[in-house]
Amino acid sequence: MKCQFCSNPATVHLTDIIHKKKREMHLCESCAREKKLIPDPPQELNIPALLQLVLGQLPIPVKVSPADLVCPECGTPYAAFRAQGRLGCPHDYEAFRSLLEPLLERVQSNAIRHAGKVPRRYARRMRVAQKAELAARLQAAVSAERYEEAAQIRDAIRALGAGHEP
Amino acid sequence: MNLNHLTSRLGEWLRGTGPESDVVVSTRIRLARNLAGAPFTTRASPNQKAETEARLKEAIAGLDLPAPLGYVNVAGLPAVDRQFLVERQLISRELAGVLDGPRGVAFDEKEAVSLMVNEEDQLRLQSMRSGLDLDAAWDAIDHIDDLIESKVEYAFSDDFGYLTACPTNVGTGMRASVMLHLPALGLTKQIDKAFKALQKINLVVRGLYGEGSRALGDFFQVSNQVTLGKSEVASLNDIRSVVQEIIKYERMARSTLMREARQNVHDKVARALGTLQSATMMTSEETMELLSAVRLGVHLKLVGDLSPTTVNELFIHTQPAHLQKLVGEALDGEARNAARARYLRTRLRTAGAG
Repeated sequence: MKCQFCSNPATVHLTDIIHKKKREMHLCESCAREKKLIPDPPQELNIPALLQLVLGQLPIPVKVSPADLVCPECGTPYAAFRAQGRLGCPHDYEAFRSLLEPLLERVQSNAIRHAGKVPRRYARRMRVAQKAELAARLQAAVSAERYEEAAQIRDAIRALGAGHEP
Repeated sequence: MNLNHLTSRLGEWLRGTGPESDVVVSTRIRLARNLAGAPFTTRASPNQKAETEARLKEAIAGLDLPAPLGYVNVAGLPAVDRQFLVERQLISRELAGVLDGPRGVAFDEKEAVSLMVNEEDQLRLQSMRSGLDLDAAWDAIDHIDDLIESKVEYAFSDDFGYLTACPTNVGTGMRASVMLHLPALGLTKQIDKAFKALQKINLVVRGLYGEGSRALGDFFQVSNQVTLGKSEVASLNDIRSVVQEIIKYERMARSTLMREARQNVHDKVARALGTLQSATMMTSEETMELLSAVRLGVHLKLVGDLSPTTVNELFIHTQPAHLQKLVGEALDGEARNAARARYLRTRLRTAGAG
């Protein structure tokens, strides 16, 4: 690896984590000295200089806080949901998932998974998708002459229901 | 649609019959649904709301139901008519006045089903029954939900179930409420004790009109709070078992009153009836309190030949919008209180109470 400032081999590797973002710097020893990262030996690392270099060279990291999350589908910011208590569209549940789950646990008495009715249309689609996946596995099993496994897969397909559903 | 013909009728929830109707006024189940791929109501533009309304109206019009549903454009109604539908519990306060833009409600002749369009959720399906009848209410609304779902695609996820504008409804989208009349628990000051049982299993209690407000006339609504992680049937079973406990407490309190304080109860009921029959000014709050005592008297057979249905009719007819429709003019303040008192005097005379 080469030094980021000249073409000498990099021998000083710095890793810094700021706002959960990891950044790395690779320098040769002379550049590191020149930037006062490593003052003349046997002194220690110049931490303030190092920080300044890291922060100065790279753009100031954008802090990703909950308030800045925005649903890509409807443009509702998470902050607007927190202010009004109403989500913008069904996709918000995915877009804000990591923030909503703790909240759901609180308001829904620790539950975060649905356990009720499923729309018929949705259940049918799930069955179709499952069947397609099983059919592909059946094909693979047959071509590999794994007939016992193929028979099991065939039974599983039958169990999902006969006929061709839309 | 002209709503005036509804004035002379009682909706299903006020029939005053059904299982346990001495204590339970009515059962109501609502489901919250939204269309896949569309923004929720509060985020939707007027055009998007109009489109949602058109799609849902079409789906509703195509429903094959024994009792056909008529659609009322709520956005186009005068304020008194919107209030009228709120009092009949066919629409929510939000649909009546807080929300704007294209919105409406479809309901049947018997007022046993109401489907609100462009409420906080695009579709709010409600089923009403007189007395404690969770199974019948659930079967009816579950069926209509299936029929609508065969015509439109709902917003649904594997993990979170039916997706709703507010995370407190996500999952089943179901809120089942049972309205109870608990005057004896009120009189014997045992109401708080009876409701302690509820907190343990995540049920909510609130008064009849208005959330969190004082329970006017000893009417309370018990409903489930949780919509995630529990099936509809399991939630209904929780409510049923708690409601049955409360019914038991109320009946025990009623028989204690009759055994130990019969004269006092009789006096309270007779005074309430006397005031209703002779006062010349009456607020709706006082009417609720007095009719509550009369309703207790009817069920304890302390009142002549007044039927529970008549008492229910008086409850609804003395609400502001109903009263104005009955009188045929807009009334406010004192004029309304005078009209209410006049109405009660006339009705109780013809009902032959005494």
